[in-house]
Order: sequence, then C-alpha cells, then structure tokens
Amino acid sequence: MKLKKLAACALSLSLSLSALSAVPVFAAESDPEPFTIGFPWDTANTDPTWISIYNNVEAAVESAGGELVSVNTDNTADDLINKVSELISRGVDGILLMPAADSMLPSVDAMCADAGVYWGTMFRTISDESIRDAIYESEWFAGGCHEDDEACAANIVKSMSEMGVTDLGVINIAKGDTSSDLRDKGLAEGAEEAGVNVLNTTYDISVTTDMTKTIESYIAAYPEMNGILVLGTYCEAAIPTIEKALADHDKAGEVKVGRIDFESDLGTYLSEGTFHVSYGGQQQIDPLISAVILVNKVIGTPIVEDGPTIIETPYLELTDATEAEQFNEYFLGDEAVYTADEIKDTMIKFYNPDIDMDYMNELISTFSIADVVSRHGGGESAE
Amino acid sequence: MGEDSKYLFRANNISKTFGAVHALESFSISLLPGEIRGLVGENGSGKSTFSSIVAGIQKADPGSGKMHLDGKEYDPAGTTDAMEHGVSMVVQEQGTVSKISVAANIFFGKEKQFSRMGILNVRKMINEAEKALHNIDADWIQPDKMIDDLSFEDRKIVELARALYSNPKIWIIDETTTALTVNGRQLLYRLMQRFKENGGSILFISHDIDEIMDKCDTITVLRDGILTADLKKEEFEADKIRSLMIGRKISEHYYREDIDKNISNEVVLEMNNVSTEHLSGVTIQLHKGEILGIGGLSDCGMHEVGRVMFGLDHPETGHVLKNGKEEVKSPKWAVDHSIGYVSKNRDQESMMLICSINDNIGLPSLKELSVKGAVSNKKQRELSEKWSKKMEVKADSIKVFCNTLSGGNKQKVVLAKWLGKGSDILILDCPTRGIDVGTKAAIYQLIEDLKKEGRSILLISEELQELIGMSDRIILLKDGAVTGEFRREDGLSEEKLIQKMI
Amino acid sequence: MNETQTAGTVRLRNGRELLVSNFSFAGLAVILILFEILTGGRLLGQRNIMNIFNNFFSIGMCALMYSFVMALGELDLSVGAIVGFSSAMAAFVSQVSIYLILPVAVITGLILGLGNGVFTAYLGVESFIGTLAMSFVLRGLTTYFLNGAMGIPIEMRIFDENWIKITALILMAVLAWFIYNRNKFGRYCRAVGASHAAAEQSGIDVRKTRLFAFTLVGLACGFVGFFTLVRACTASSSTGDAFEFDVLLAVLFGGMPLSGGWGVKFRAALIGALAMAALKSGMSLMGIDGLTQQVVQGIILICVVVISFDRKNVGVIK
Repeated sequence: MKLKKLAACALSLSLSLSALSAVPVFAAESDPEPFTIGFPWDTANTDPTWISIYNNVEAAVESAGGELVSVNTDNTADDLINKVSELISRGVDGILLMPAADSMLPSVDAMCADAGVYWGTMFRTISDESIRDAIYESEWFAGGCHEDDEACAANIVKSMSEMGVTDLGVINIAKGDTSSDLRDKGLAEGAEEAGVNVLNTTYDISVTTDMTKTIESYIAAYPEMNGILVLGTYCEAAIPTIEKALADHDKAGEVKVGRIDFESDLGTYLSEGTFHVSYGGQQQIDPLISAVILVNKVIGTPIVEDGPTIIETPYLELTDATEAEQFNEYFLGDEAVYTADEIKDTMIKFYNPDIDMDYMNELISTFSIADVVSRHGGGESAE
Repeated sequence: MGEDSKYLFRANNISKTFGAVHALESFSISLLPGEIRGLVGENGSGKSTFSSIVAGIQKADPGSGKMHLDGKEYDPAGTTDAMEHGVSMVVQEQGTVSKISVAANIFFGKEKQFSRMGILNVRKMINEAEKALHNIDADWIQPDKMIDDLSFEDRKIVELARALYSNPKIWIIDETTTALTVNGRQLLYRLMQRFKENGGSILFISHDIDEIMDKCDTITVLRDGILTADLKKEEFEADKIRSLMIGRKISEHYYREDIDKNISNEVVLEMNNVSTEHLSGVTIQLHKGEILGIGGLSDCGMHEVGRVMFGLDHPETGHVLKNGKEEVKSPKWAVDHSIGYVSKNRDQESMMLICSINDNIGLPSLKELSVKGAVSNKKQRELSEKWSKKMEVKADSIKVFCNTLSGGNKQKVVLAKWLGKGSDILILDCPTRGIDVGTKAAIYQLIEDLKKEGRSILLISEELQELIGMSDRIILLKDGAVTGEFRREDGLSEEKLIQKMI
Repeated sequence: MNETQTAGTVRLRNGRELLVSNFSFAGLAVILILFEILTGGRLLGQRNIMNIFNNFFSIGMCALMYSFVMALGELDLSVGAIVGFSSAMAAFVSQVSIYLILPVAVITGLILGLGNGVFTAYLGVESFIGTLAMSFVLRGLTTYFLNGAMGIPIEMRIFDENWIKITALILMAVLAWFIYNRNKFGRYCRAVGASHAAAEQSGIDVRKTRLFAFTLVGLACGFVGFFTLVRACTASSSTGDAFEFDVLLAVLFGGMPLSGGWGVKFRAALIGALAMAALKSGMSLMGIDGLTQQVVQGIILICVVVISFDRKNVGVIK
C-alpha cells in the first residue's frame, strides 16, 4: 500500500514537473500545435438539439485551432467502439464520446492507451465504482462533464408536485443508460418525498408514432393521470407529439407536462399553458465544457494536472415562454453558447495559465439563458 | 392484291436463331379463312417457336421476313397486342393464374373494362365470364369459383374461354389436347368446327398424328426449323407424315410386342387398402420385372396412386409397403430405397429448369457421388455424361440449362437422373405427355429394356394405346376406386378398358 | 408454382443473371476506385485497411452462412436479434465464469437458428414472418434480461486481436465454402430454392435442409455475438441493431437473387460484404453525414433489387 502511494506521489510529482517545464516552451509560441479531435456522433439525427451539440463541440475544438473529425454512429456500445477504432486509425489526437454504458469504457481506454490518444466523455458519469476507479487512474482519460441527473430528476418531480401533480406517467431514455438510470433513481426519491404516485415508465422510444401510442395508452389506462414527465428521450419532436396526443384526447392543459432536456418547441406550449416545466440547458454547455476539458488535455495544458478533470454543470429551469424563445434563438441557433473566441479567451489554459477547477466552477455558475443572451444577442444593443 | 387478299394470314421467310441454333429458317405459311392447319414436327423442330412469334411472345430475327394479317402488316408488340389484333393462343402447359377466381382468369389483364374509378365490378365480371363459358358450352364451370378448385382439364377449358372471348381471327392451339380427356377433346373439336365455320383460321399443333389427320384440312411438316412439306387432305398418310418429321423411316417396332407369362410372384411395391382424399380402398401390387399400367379418366385418382406409392401423399388409412414389410414413409425414404418417380408436371416437379443437365441428373445421387463429405465433381460429370449420352439428350454439353431444352429432351434428362441413381422401381406418371414421336419411341424402348433388366415399372397414363402397348397388366380406376384389371396375355383392347373407365 | 415459360423470357433471365453476377464485381470495383480517388488514396491506405476489415468482419461472417438461406430462396430477418441475444446470454454467464462466454454465445446462436428452422421448415411459417417474429421476441428478451447493458471482464479484450478474427473468419469461410460448394448439403439448398417439388421428388429431405440452413446462420450469429461482445466488453439491448439489414444488403449487393436456386453464388457473400464495408468506410472517411449515408444505402438497395429481381415468381398468362 505504502509503495503504491509513494509511486502515485512520484508519478504526480513528475507529471506536474513536466507540465511546469512545458509551460515556458508553449508560452514562447503564440498558438498550440495543430491537433484533431475525433467525435463519433449521430449525424443522421436532425433534431435541433442534436445539431446544437455538434456545434458546441466544434466551437470548443476550433477555439484552440483544432480540427473536428466527426464520424456517424448510432451511439450504441458496439458501434461506438468501432468508431473509436476507426478514429484512432485516422490519427486523431483526442476522442470525445457519449458513453452508452459504463462497461464499454475499459475497452475505450485500452484502445486509446494502445494508440496514445486522449479521450473524454460528455453527459455521463461513471456509476460503476470499480470501472470508475480504473478509468480515473488512466493517463489517457481527460475527464468530462456531467450533470447531477439524480438531483435534477428529484427536483423536477417536486416542482411538478407543487403544480398539483399527484399521478405521473413517465418516459425515459433506456434501461442501462447511465443518465437514464440515475434519473430513474432521482424520480423515485423525489416522488416519495413529494408523495407523487408514479403510474408507469416507458423506455426506449425512438420514433414519434411510438410516443403517440405510449401517451394514448397512458390516457386510456390511467384516467387519474394528471402529469406526464419526460425524464429523457432520443425521440425527435417529443413534446409536440405528446401535446398533440393530449389535445386529441382533450387533455391538453389538464395534464401537466414536464421534461428534462430542453427542446425547440417548448415556448409555444408554455405560452399556451399546455406545457409546464423543463430542466435543461445542459445539452449545450455540457458538450462544450467536455470538449474544452479534452482540448486542454490534448494541447498539453490540462485543467487538473493529476487525474481527470470532472466538471458538473447545472440544470437550468424553464417555466416561462419568453425564456423559452430566447433558448430557441441563442441555444439552438447556429452559434455555440460560447463562441470559439470566447472559449479561447476564457477557457483554454494555454492562453490563460490561471485556469483551474475553481475558476471553471465559478465560470459555469454564471451560465444562464440571460447570460448567453447578454453575451450574444445583448451585444448588439450594447454597441 | 388479288392473290394476297384471299389469305387471312401470311408469314414469309420467318427466321429465328438462338445463339448458333436455327430454331426456324425462312419459314413461310399462308392460312385461308376457315382453314384448320396442322403443324407437326418433332420437339425442337420449330413449331412452338413459330406459334409463339405469331402470338407475340417473342420476336422473329430482325431483318427476317414479315407477317401479314388481313392484308395489313402484322408485328405484335406482345401477347396483349396480338390478342387485340385477333390472335389467340392456348398452350400445352398450364396457363392459368392460381389463387384467383375463374372469372378473374378469363379477364386477366382486361379487368379495366369492369372497373369504374378504380373499383372492380366483380358481379359484372362474373356475369360476363358466365357468358364466355356458355359460349363454349362449358356451363358446368362456375365463374366465381377459385381456379385452384378446378381439375386440370377444367382449367384448360377456362383457358379456351379466355382465348375465344375476344372473338379472334387466328386461333393457335399448341398441344392442348394432351391435357384433355375424351370429353374435353370432344368439346375442343366442336369449338374448332364452329370457329372454322365462322371464317377463322386455326393453327393446330399436336403430337397425335391420328388426331391431326382427322381434324385438319392441311398439314405443314417442320423438321429442324425448316419446312419439309405442305400436305393437302388427300395426301395425308400417317407413315409418310412420321417419316417427313423424323427424316428417316421409323421402325415398325414402337410398342413392345412380346407377352411375358413368367412374371415373378415377388411383390416389390404395394398399396393395401389405401384411402386418401382422392382414393378409396385401393389395393395395387407391383411385381418384380413387371410393367403395371394404371389408367382411367384424368381425375380418377391414378395420379394420386403414383404420389402415394412414392410417399408424396400419405394414406389416411392403409399402407404402402416395399418388399411386403417396409413402409414407404417419404419421398426421401423412397429414393433411398431405390424407387424413382417421374411426375406428370415435369417442368414444375421433376426438374430444376434454371439449372444445368449435370446438376439435374446428379441430384438424387449426390450421396453416392460423395467422397469424405465432398461431392466429386468428376464423378458427377461422368455420371451425367454417361446417362445423357445413353438417353441421347440433344444438347451441346451437360452444362446446358434445362430450360433451353425441348420437352422430349427434358424428359430424357429426368429419366437419366433415375437411371443414374440405379433405381429398381420406377413410377412414371404420363412419361410421354406432350413428347414427340421420336422421343416417345425411345422411352418405350427404355421401359422395355428396364423390364428385361428385372426392374419394375408403374406406368400411369391417360393414353390407352400406350397402356395397351406397354403393360403386362393394367389396373383401371374410376372415382378413386379400382374397377378392373386386365392381363396382357388375355388380350387387351380399348373397348374393354373404356367400359371400366366410365 | 404455375409459371409458364417461353424460350424468350428464359433467355432474358439468363442474360440478367450474367448481368447480376458481373454487377457485384463491377460494383465493388466502382466503390473501391471511386472512394480511393475521393479520399486521396486513404481508403486503401495501410491505416484504413483494418477499418474496412472491422466493418467487413461481422457482416462477412454472417453472410457466409446466409448464403444457404438465400439459396433456399428464404430470408432471415432475425440475425441482428440473434447476435444481440447471444452476446447478452454470454455476458450473463460471464459472471459465473469467463470460460463460458464463447461456448454460451455459440450455442445460444445455434439453438436460436434451430428455432428459426423449426418455425419455417416444420411449422410452415413463411421465413420472412417467422424470423421477423423471432427478432421481436429476442429483442424484448434481451432488454428484459440485460436490464439495459452488462459488461464482461476487460481481460476478454484479448480475443479482439486482429489475427484471431482473421483466423476465425478464414476458418468459417473455408467451412462454409466446403459445405456450400463441395458437400451435398449446399447443392440440396440450391435445389430446394430452384424447385421445391423437384428437390423433394429427388429424395431430398426439404424440411431438414431448411432446418440446417437456418441453424448454420444461427451458428454464425453466435460467433458474431461473441466477437461483438469481446470488442466492446459490453452487451446492450441495442447490440446487433439493424445488423440484419447490413447482411441482407451485402448479400443482395453481392448478386444473390432473392428467388434462390442455382443463381446464388457463394462468392457473392464475400464480395457483397466487402463492398458494403468499403462503402461505409469510404463514406465515413469523406465525412459524409449519417443521413446521407442512409440515403446512399437505400438507393443502392433499390438498384440492386431492380437488377436482380426475378420475374419468375410472377404468374403470367400467355
């Protein structure tokens, strides 16, 4: 044990020394070496959220002069592994991915370690303890961003309870998916605390027809249902589909609807009073920060010197139509929530040697819809 | 004008080649209104090629001669176009579409006339079909019945109704009579007579020389794609026609002539008191070295006898036994135990058409041709070559696909497959159906040779002459039950047999 | 079967068969040359060859055995689900012992293939429907058993070595080639596909032939399941998703006619799988987005089916 600790100390010391010694070398140059980041992503999905995730990753990579290499994947474990292997063979310097399961990560790490490629995750924590320990030990794992899915789910249930919801129908991503499982857990806790009765949970809905069927069967089976909560889904246009199904059965407005993860049409329904609460906004900031973590690692200036950089981004709450419109414009537009220049100025350690965890947490705590509006849209009026 | 205008149909110097083969070479023919023209020739002589060109199924070689119909140039784009010009055809093979009604079959491809705004008026179509059937005196066929519920013969009659409904000027009848029973033939002959009286011309193709001589006004003989003779009624003579077809004099020896009184008592294959959907309490025993003929009207159950004996159909009651003890369980069991079967539906059931002669002949023998799990291609080739040579299959090589062969050659391939397997018992269901005289004689000779080798043959046939000519013993069936049994030595005649058939 | 044929249509079909068999070669060549140029020589570059192989491996391994089912003129739409289910079962037993992973994956595949065979051969269910139903059942069961996803020990990655996969593929190819082209069983399959009745009346046990063909596909899927599992060290409910279409597209692209029979050439499996792997890799190298990739694959499928569509099963009155 002692020997291990000693070795770890020595390792971290040597790492920080080498990092320190590297600083003056890089500082002498005006820009880091050109690099490429591989990004397996479902480029067949045309949902605005999906596209905005891509845009935010791209902004972060380009901020330090990198090139984004994207390959299409269906985000399943086997396909992600294939795409990691493909990207490695194409000579990328780092790979950013959204894990489909904890158990696939040791394979990813082993492949990246063999090839000497850094990698990072987005949106997901590692819940399996032994896997987490092993991955965090890896020198090739840059870290990643995630949200407190459990707390978020618990909170949204409580907010819905305050709106008068007592009987809740639930939609979630898929069993085995890390976020999905954590949100389930949070749902159970929040529901117990607030005294909400969870009627049923349906998983793995990927097309709108299935969504319609699910909602219709909920309406038929549970006349007492007065709330629908989407904990997450990969189905495109989920809320419009749900709203349509509710309206068809004269339940629009009567059944309170909430969802985790924002989407583009929320404003309309919020103003009509048929949609009620959403927690989200992380879908843009999370991939952006995740990419920032990886980029910093790849160019030799990791935010945390010894070990992975793990950052938790907060959920934003959305209950107001104006904000929803702003969200559409500034989060789902072509521009990232931080532009490449803003990222370069505030988040790339190569240019700002003072960056550390406290700095990042501080920066993220100022992130809000109003913040993005003031930086991007607000800029016009200020000038 | 003048000379030309008296003909209803003329074809001049029509040629058709398939690769290097001349299926038809500068063939010319002229039909008068009200003429029944017989077209005879061996299989592969070009009769079917010519008739299919007239019916628009295929095109003559570009640059070869032209056809004229009613004095106008005639070059059909397809069968529908040909029908619209007044040329109808009925063929040897089954030409109905299964799983739809009789009426839908009669008006297949012409449903539009019963449709309004895309909706088919079924009632109207059935009424019209009823008329069409009435016009050909086939009132017993119900137009709303599914075609599959009809007997083979009735389906053929539906085809007649279809062909005649459009009031054609030229009617091509290609080997249709082989599919018909006595009653069906009588009906066809009546229709032909009526057609002739109305001024139409008929092109009548048949292998039955007696029938041709009886029904036709003139005969055109083809050999190897070349016209060999145009005969007038007064020149008709069976032997002359046969030798014109074959190009040499055929021997007198056609059917077997001996009488074998020493048939073994050993029963090799038998059915005891077998009942199925089509048979009731049938008992038949096939002895070693015997040619046993099974006859009757086409739906009397004789084809089912073959199927049951081979294990294709399973008896509801009763047993099918080989050598008196082993039950015939399945076709596989039968083949493994040296039983071979030739179906009456040769193209559908007895052979793989889109497939080489070699693969067809080798198919039942693959187990014997295998060495350590691998089929020896060399052995298979040797086997196929040996037996296709022995059977005198006319083809460039054993690699030739069977769909390019004539009917007679196809049947030779089917028989070669069982000879190659060395089967001791052969169940032959209408082995000479629709086959030219030359091949017929060869098959009869083969059956005789097989008998001499001690093999047993169950010969199922709708042709009484064939049964009488070949069998040691004949069993007749009617409505699925045995009605009579005759021995060769007691003397056989058509009259005796027909009495037991109807 | 009541088709009527004439020399003319038959000749036409032989001509089309010629076109089909050359089409696959030409298609492969076009894909290789086109993408080699478009990617500036990167497609067949040393680095990308292994990517093509990885894409090729699963599809190729399954397509080898799929030849038998295609020869019968049948379809198997459950291969993706069998891959998923057998890898799930193997992941399940890995908790007991890692030595069980390979045998359980393979045996599960085999049994499921056998099940498909029983449905189609003995219960007379159309293979299209039977295997589709099988696929639904297996997908449901996979999700139920895994409750999402399940990992196996990372040490199992040692089986994800290229030399092991190349060896396995070669062994499978030799085995399949032998059975298809040399053993009587391969000919039985083609004979049944060419004419069910003629095969039966030539003494072939048609039902047993069907049963074995589907079992062989199941066996191949078991192996694919194993290699998929050890690659990601994870079995998830989405493992093998849409794999059936990759395989079907590959064999069709290779020139196997849907109607079965003697036109089904063994080499088509490999050519088709290779063409699909090269196509996917080429599109990925060019950075073509997923939506466009789907469109391209769909267009190829339409072209292939139009060219190889066999009119023989359409009844025609002359």
